[in-house]
Amino acid sequence: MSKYVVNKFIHLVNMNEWAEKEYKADPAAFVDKWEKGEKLKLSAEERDALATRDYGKLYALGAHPFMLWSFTEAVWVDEIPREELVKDYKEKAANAGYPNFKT
Amino acid sequence: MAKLEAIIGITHNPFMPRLFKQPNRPPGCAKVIERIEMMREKLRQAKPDVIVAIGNDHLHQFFMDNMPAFMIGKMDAYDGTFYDEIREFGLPTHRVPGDLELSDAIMEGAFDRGVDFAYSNELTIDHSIIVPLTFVRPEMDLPIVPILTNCIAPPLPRPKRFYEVGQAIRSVIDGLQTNKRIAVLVSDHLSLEIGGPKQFERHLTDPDFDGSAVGWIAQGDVNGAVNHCSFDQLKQSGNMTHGFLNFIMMMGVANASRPSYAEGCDAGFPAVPFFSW
Repeated sequence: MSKYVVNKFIHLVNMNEWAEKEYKADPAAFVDKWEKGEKLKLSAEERDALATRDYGKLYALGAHPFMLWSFTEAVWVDEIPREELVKDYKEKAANAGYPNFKT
Repeated sequence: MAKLEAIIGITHNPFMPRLFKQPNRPPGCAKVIERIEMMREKLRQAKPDVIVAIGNDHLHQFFMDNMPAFMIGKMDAYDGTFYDEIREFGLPTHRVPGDLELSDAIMEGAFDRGVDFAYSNELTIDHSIIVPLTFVRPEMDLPIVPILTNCIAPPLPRPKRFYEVGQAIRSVIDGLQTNKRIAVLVSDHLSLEIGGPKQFERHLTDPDFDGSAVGWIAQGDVNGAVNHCSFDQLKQSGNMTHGFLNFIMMMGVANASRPSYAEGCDAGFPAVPFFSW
């Protein structure tokens, strides 16, 4: 069920400038603070992937691909040129194939 | 009696408005812009008083904590869009008038026809409504009735249900005791991948699917469409191809009549749909 919790976090960061800024400033601390206020919890693997902005892992774990790409661009594009980011994202997604993202 | 003056099916590709303004835009854009202008003219000639705008929320207001299958907006004005769409697509914000009376009439009439819409008195519209309006009614002056579907977050309603909901909307419109001239504007896409290994490629995602899909609509082939468009079937043609379900709803609005125009335009990126009645 925690795929839903991953999507919930991605949704928050993707849609709110304050959350985007806070997450980008210190991903692990923001994830930790956020999860403390949540009833539903992330798995250890999901928590680690969010704390390290590991989009390949999040994709493999079944995060919703439409939101995941938008989130990935938002939280990485200041550090990696968009073209390179698209290429790397696609390679990592290709390695994972098409995970089930149904929640 | 109300009259359905036009049905238009069009892309809601959120990258397009910004792309079209770039001086070095891909050569295929010219063809797409020409088709958009044709659809805009068609809508203008229909002289609608109101637009029923069918699209799908992209996990903005619809979310997995409370996911409606089909929802109707009941407001006298709608704001668009959300922070992430301004950031990612460079879309401007808009305020579009709403036709609350028609929203109510469709909602109540649909109940009588076996369709239980969810509703919202506080709905923000995203690119699935904003982009098609930008294309065919850039003035954004006509009141709208937004109808949003869940064709993005599985489990999804079945293709047959999308068709039936479209038919119910049509039946309500045909029976309205009003002189309003109504247009239905439906947005989505053909084969498409976003957030997967094949995203952002400069060619059609699945030309075989695109050809079949345009064929079902052009021929009014409801069985063809509903028998080939389960979630598991659609995802074989691109991980977001299930957005096509909105066009099956459009077939329902048309009562499976043949459109006067049907095309999956190959412009050097994923197919750009254009349909009109």
